[in-house]
Amino acid sequence: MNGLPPEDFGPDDVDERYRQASSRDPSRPSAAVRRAVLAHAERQVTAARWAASPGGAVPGRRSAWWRPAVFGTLTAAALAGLLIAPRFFAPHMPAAPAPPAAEVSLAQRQAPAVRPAPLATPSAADTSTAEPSEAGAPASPGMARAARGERKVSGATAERAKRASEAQGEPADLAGERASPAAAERRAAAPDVLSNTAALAAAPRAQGGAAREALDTDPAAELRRAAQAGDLPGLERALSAQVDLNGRDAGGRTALMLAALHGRTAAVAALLAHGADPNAADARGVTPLQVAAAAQEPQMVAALKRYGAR
Amino acid sequence: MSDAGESDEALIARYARGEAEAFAQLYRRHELRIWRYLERNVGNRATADELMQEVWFAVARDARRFVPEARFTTWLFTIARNRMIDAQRRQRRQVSLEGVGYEAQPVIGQLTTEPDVGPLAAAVVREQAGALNEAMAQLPREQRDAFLLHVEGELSVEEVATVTQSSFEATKSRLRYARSRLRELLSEHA
Repeated sequence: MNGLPPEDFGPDDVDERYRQASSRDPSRPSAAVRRAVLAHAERQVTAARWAASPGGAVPGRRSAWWRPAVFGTLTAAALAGLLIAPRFFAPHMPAAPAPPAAEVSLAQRQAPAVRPAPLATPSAADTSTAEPSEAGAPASPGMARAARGERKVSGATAERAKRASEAQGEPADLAGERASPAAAERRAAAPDVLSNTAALAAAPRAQGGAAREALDTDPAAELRRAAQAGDLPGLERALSAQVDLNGRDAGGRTALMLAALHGRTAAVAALLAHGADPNAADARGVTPLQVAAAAQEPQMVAALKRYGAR
Repeated sequence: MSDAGESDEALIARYARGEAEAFAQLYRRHELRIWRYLERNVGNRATADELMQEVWFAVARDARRFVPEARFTTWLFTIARNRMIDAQRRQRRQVSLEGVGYEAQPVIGQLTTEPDVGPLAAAVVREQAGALNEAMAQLPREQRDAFLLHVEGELSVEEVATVTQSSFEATKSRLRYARSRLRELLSEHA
């Protein structure tokens, strides 16, 4: 250091009194800070060595934070898939009973094609609902599957037609017949069935989109996002929306847990002050206090303990 | 400076070349003075710890940018002061931490006693440290900052002016006022 103050501003008895009083002050920085700083300095050196070495990548760098982030993202994606995917397969309705073979052949002779030709020639089982076709055998297993998919939609169409007819006072067997190949002409005259089928297929996607949008605007999700990012203005907005403070994500983590995992001390403090449960463990039973202690965050640990974390 | 004879500038240069032990030496050498500078300015031990970590992380990260012609302590206290100002701005702008348990507790309440000191001596130490902290808390912010940089950081008036981005005369004036006020305050406790 520079030793004595410069000549133009000499030492003073107050400086000395301050130094004496200061030297008797027993307060010290926390040992956790010292450990964290020295560990960080060593990591910087290691990272610089790796960066300078051929290849350059730093193995395991920042692995402490990206693992939970990746795990959380994958879990959220899987959950969203589970929620949305079933909508694409609904409704699962039984196929209408097969009409007599004679009726099928008559219908094949009489009915013009009303849809683009199916990819597969209907087998004996297909005659229940399949449209007449000029096409040959399936060109591939994939095409055959496409043909089976067509049957499934047609079965649903038959059921809907039957229900609609019943509502209009038609006999049930006539309604079932509406869906049979023999009714192709009538279906041609009622193209809304096709458009309805398309709408039926599209509906789950639309519903899925709405669900995704709802997720995006979900105040609890916004709260967790803001907590994880340490976005205090965002956190304040979410908190003012009277959101469920202890709402959990797919991994069972509350906003408080996410803030703790990402070292957001101010966010942790704000959530605690607004009444977040300090002991809300995630799906694996890990508590925010354990996370803060493992991350050597003394302020966070202190704040959690003040609010009763165990 | 020196407990080991090697200058701060040489140590930081060694650390920039990859010697982690040089950083540990630097840290040990300046740990207490940086921490006291922060703690007596912010008046809160937890915040001082947090800032302490930020400051030294920045030193480790930016060691290669250190210009050898400059004095290490000037650079170090400039980082400390900037971090402290940033934290104070954040605190004003964002959530009020006072409402969430980070109220500015007087440092006297957080002092720990040394294990080999008896209860009476501990009380005296506590009283003295408390008087000092109370006196520091009563100084205007700019005067306190200048005084701590000068006495705790052992920076010259010119260096204090550089760190605080003030003129030499303004810095001298702040130091004079700070000394005068501290003299009064400490005499009251004498």
